[in-house]
Amino acid sequence: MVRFIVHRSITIIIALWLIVTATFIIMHTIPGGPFSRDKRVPPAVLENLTAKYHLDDSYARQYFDYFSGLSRLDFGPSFRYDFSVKDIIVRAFPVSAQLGAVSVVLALILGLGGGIISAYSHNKWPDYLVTFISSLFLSVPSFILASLLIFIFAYKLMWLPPAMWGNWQQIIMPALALSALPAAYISRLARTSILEILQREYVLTARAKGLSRISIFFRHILKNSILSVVTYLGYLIASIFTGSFVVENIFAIPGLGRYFVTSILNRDYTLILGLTVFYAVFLMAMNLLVDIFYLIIDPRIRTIGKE
Amino acid sequence: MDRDYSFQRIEKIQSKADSALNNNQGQYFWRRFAGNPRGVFGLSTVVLLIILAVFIPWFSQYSYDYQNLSITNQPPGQNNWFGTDSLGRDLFVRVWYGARISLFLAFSATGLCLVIGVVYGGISGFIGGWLDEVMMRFIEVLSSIPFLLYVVLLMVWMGSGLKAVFIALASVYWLTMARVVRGQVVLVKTEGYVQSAWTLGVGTKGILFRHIFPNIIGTIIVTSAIMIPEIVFAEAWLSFLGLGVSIPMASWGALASEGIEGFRNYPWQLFFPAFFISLTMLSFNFLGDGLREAMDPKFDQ
Amino acid sequence: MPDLLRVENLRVELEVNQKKVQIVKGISFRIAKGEVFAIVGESGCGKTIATQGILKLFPYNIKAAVTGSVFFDGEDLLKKSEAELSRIWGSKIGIIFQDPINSLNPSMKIERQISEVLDNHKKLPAGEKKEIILDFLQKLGITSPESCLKKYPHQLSGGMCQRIMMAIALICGPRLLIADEPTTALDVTIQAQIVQLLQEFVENNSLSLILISHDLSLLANIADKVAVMYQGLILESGNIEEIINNPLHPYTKGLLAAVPDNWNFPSTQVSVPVPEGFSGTVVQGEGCVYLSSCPEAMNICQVRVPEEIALSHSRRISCWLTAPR
Repeated sequence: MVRFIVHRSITIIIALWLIVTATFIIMHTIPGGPFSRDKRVPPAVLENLTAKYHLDDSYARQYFDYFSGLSRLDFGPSFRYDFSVKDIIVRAFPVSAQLGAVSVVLALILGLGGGIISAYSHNKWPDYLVTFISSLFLSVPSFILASLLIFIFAYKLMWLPPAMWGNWQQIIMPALALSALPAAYISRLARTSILEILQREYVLTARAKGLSRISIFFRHILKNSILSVVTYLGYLIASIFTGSFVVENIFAIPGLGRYFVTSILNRDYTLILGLTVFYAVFLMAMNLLVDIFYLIIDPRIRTIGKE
Repeated sequence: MDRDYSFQRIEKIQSKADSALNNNQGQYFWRRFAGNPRGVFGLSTVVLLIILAVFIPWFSQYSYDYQNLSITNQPPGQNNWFGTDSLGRDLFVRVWYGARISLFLAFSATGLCLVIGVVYGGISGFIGGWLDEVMMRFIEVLSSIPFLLYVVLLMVWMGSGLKAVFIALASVYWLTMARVVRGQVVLVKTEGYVQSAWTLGVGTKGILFRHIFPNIIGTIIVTSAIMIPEIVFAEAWLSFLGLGVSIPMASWGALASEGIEGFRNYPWQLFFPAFFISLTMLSFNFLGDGLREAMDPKFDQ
Repeated sequence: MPDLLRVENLRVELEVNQKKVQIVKGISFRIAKGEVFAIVGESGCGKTIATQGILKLFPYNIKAAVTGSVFFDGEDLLKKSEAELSRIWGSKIGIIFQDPINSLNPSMKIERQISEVLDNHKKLPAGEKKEIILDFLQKLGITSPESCLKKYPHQLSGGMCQRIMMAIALICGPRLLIADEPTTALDVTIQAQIVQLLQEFVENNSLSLILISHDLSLLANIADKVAVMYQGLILESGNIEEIINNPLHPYTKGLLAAVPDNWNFPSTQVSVPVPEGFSGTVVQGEGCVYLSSCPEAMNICQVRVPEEIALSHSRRISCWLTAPR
């Protein structure tokens, strides 16, 4: 188990190094990039940049400084805003994290619920209904669903506010838009896995013990079927957070994703690269956590290292 | 009996048996696929979409970039079936032109992934040993990078445009294909019939093309079928971020992104591209499911 | 001696690909208290489905219709609801399956898997429960029961897993144990140990046992009675010695001939019939089910199903060869 975690950590560190190096190279080579001298940059910013990155030093020196800066979450100043990239992250990430967490939980609840209903009514109408809905959700990109929700619930029915951030009504639509697709995927995963587990011999053993359907479900089926959903968690988190770039923009939510999109549109390179590195670190750390979590709940993997 | 136990002859007999088996498998496969209404729906819609995307822009009276500022933001009507956009361009032709771009991108990027993935995964899995180890570690490292961030970086570096989107997407999705191919090759390589073919003296080429390839082709097709809608999706996402194809060209994603700006007042500008993105996704998903279910008898419950 | 279990005209129909297929086509037998009743037959002959039919305990993915009657302790099990049956399963009737490793939940510790059945049928204080479990594992020849309880199934050998399955099936003190090929998945040396354990439990607890197997040499040591099953029917049944020493049905003869040399049957003398293809789904025709493989088939065998006749108090057979003419 320890070996596995060490192995995963090394992989992630190499991947991070790759992405940071890539951002460094992009910073220096991109035409019109932050360090290109042939473009007119506001003198104050240029001064600031030169001071920050010691642009007169050798590339090796700069590369080293860049790394030590990153380790202090220091991504330099934004090109367009009066704040440093770090300020933006500190201010906007909690919003994104809140939306992300709500969406992840919502996706899990809807997905598992749908999957359980579907599996237990195998080839009856509730199963068909859930499968149909999940096929639809799997086919609609989050930004389309978001616009559709706004059109129906904000413009036509006027039940929910169309945009902005702050109260619970304003989190419903973005969270739904973000979680619909992963929820559909989870419900399929859960359905297949429950159907498969229902056929396992140990479920028959559990029935032969005289256990009730409910205790068989909670003790023998749920945990084993959740294992397959957990393997998807890392991907789920990544897709919800990258999806939030778009969704935050549509709902005018002042989260990190919105800054990410505007930074791309504005070609605000320090912000793009800083946010990329930040997201990379965050998502990879989440992935590592998911891996560890999986190890904890699956005894088959956990105990291999011990023997 | 002839004392010459020529490997040649056995190989010939073997190959006949193989092709007979594969034919039967093929027929069996298509029978199962044809019996699945969702799979058939998916396949026919995909074919229909491709045909329409190829022919409609040819025969249309408008071009995708023809602006007529006197008829901006028109609702769907007789002259403009899907209405017009804010610059008075005909949305019907733009949507089908977008279909060309989106589908072309999806198919060509998948094709490139297929080539890279099969070569990379095939080498890694077939040769094995330390080379396999190194190649797989490389993939592991790359795939632990959240892939949309990686695409964004590439796009920022290369600038937007059709070619950049193509390269960026292909350079990400080949990882999946390589991993799948490698896994299949390793699996088939250790099967009894391949082992016995080795002991019968069948050469590397024979093993690869007669035994391994026919047995992994199904998985490769299914993986590609699943990959295409993912690329349509990713392209739409990139276009929304402003990193897609450059104007006045427009993929479905770019059209939808334009449509969102004014969709409160002109909902059709969003509706049509959104509908076709979703329809494409749905039919490819159904097609992928159909293929997979036809391939794997486990689904036959 | 009163019968513990009386099965009458049991039929089980499964739904396979939207078609109904009769797997068990009307079998009857009775088992006395403390008796070991063996059902023998090749794979696909319906012996597993027959026992699942007796209990109305099928895997969730199998749709089955059971008719006939199964009297256990004077009550017809087939008339009971699932809730009523679940009070019998695990407490009055224990079941062990063919593949011990897969029959245990991979993500649950052994202790919980055993205590679960006790919790379900008997409310015991925790200390006493643990005592009972440890004691029971010792009886099953597990040398370090404490450490065994803390393990997961994948950390145990097949033989150990089968002992755990026996513990689960027997710990509530059932009166009937159904063992479906309990040794098939195990090594030969372990097989003997498991059979011996079963025998001990039968003798010490006046337990009745239904033992399903395809291995006649295994049954010879332990069974009192044996029923030979083929394509959903019992072709011949009787005391084990009678069947082994004097097989009457051609299929029984074939089975015995297939048993290797430590038996006194020169295996070359009787041709071993090989049934053609999978037997489970053959449509019931007009003739004998064994017709296509029978070396002694007669004209009548093609047109009429032989009726079951009693040759003695215990011996029954369905074959035209032994029918009065």
